[in-house]
Amino acid sequence: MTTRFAADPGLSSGSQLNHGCGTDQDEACLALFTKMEGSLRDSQQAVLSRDVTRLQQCTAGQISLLQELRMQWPKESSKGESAHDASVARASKAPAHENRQAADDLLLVEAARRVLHLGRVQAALLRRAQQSLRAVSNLMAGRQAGYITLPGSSAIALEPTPLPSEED
Amino acid sequence: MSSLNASLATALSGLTAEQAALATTTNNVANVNTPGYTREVPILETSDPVVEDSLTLGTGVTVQSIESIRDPILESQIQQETQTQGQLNALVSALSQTQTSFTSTTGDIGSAISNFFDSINQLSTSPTDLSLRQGVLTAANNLATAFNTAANNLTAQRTSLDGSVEQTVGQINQLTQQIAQLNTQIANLENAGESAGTFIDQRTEAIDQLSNLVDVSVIPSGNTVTLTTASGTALVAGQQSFALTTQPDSSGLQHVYSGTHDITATIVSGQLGGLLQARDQQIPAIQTQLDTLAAGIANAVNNVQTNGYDLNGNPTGATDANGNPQTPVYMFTPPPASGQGAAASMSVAITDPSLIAASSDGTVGSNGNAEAMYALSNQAVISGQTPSNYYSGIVFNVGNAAANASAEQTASSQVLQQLNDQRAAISGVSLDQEAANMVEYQQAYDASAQVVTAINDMMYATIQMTTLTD
Repeated sequence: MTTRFAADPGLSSGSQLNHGCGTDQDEACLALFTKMEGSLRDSQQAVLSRDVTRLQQCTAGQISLLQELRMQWPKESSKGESAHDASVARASKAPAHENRQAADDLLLVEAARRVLHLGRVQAALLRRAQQSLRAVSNLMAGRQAGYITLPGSSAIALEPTPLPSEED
Repeated sequence: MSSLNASLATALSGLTAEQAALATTTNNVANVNTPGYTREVPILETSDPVVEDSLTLGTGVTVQSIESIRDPILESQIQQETQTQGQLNALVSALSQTQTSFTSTTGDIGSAISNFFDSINQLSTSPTDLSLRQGVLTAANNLATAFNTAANNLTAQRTSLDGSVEQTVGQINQLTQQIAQLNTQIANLENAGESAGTFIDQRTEAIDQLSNLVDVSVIPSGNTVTLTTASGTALVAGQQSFALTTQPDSSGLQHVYSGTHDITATIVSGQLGGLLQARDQQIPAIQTQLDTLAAGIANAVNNVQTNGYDLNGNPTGATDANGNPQTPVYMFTPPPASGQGAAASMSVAITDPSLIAASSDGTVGSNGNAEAMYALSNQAVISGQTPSNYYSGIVFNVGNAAANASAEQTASSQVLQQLNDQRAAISGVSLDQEAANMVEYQQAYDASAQVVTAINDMMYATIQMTTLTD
């Protein structure tokens, strides 16, 4: 029993590195992570500037990158140890020819962490945008709006009540 | 002559107005880098006309007021986001500190649990080996120390947060006092018909600072503002501020009071909200989980320990070999029944390694009980989980809370930055715009001066004509 515990929940045992993967594969993953980082930063700007078209483009790009990553990312996991801890341990103990692999692993894990953080930020920004847009839609609904409950939500939203027609 | 004088007065009003406009522009340019400064614009108004016979004649221009350019909705959004930012800053800081306690590589609870069960596993291979028995006691002591250290760290962190709560309340009181004083100055100036733009800027800056500390609702009332917390507790009403106080509860933790009302639970935003959330919710939740784990391990190990026999073949349970009652020989001091404080008080109850109940039947060399004790490491003895998995869950929760708070903090910073940029675009000084204004006002001033010169010439000519006629 030499279990270590991953402090970063996003990088716990489910997403650990297979140390047998080649450097080319590592580099491909790293390149994809870098692209993903850039795309997430772009989409964050799109959310902030309420640029829906750009946001859609970014999201489509992210889905495509995610699919590529799934193909490249090693499936097997090292037993028990978090990828980061394992990489650090190897980098400090391993002989020189293994050090490069460990360093690559470390780079990958750090890149994955950054992407994970950016993903969380994106989710937080989208939540805020949703709240803000809901407030705007409530304001636009005007005084004659009635209260309805949104499906699947406990939140109350305003629904504009149609004005009475002249015939009425 | 009266019409020429009137024209002169009209031209002079133009000179005065353009002078005021130029002064405003000059002030804007001077404050281009002043934090919180809001650009001002002169509001010009046509003077009341006069009616002469059938003619209505204009009498020039007056400067009605100098107004600061503000967007109240934007200000409100900035204040709300600042509150969120303050809360998240405090929360992230606290959670990062908590996380550190759970990510150290040596002496942490996860390793101590593993080492403890490993030592029992080794003992089961040679249950009479005293050095292995001593190894179990050492590992048990290390486990207890790891729990004690983690629990004490959390308690110390709560105490530190408690100190910050008191300090923050002091800062809130200073700011509310300052805002009430500014309300007075603004009211006095505006009642006298003067511009209070500078003081309004100072008040806005102070409200922003206050928003960073506590959840504030700003209610404009006349030329002052009323500030309350989100739950309606008055902080400033016009020219009067209401100080918050702190009083310790029975456990020594500071509660926030407004008058005689304990408002601690109602403060959810700003730095104070973040501090209270970490002190009263996040850390106690982790403490409870640690206590559950410590109590669960101690009880499970004690149960097995009191079902076996020590190295000398004596039963370690509640009855001796003759069936007479005896004090059970526990491995760990039994935790409190409620489990509360179990991690902080965890300790090893035995010092004699021969008292470890490795034997299940009292025979020398039996390892049945040691194996049963080791089996606990893979049994769901704590809330349906193994000890290691339960601890892993605690670490996951701490990491998850810290990561989410950190992401929220980054998102909040980005939103706040954007709102501040919007405010700068509306209320900030644009040097290009001011340069254009300056040229415009200068030309208008020159034109008015030309009119004065022309009227002067006309008056001179008129005087000359009068002299010649005489």
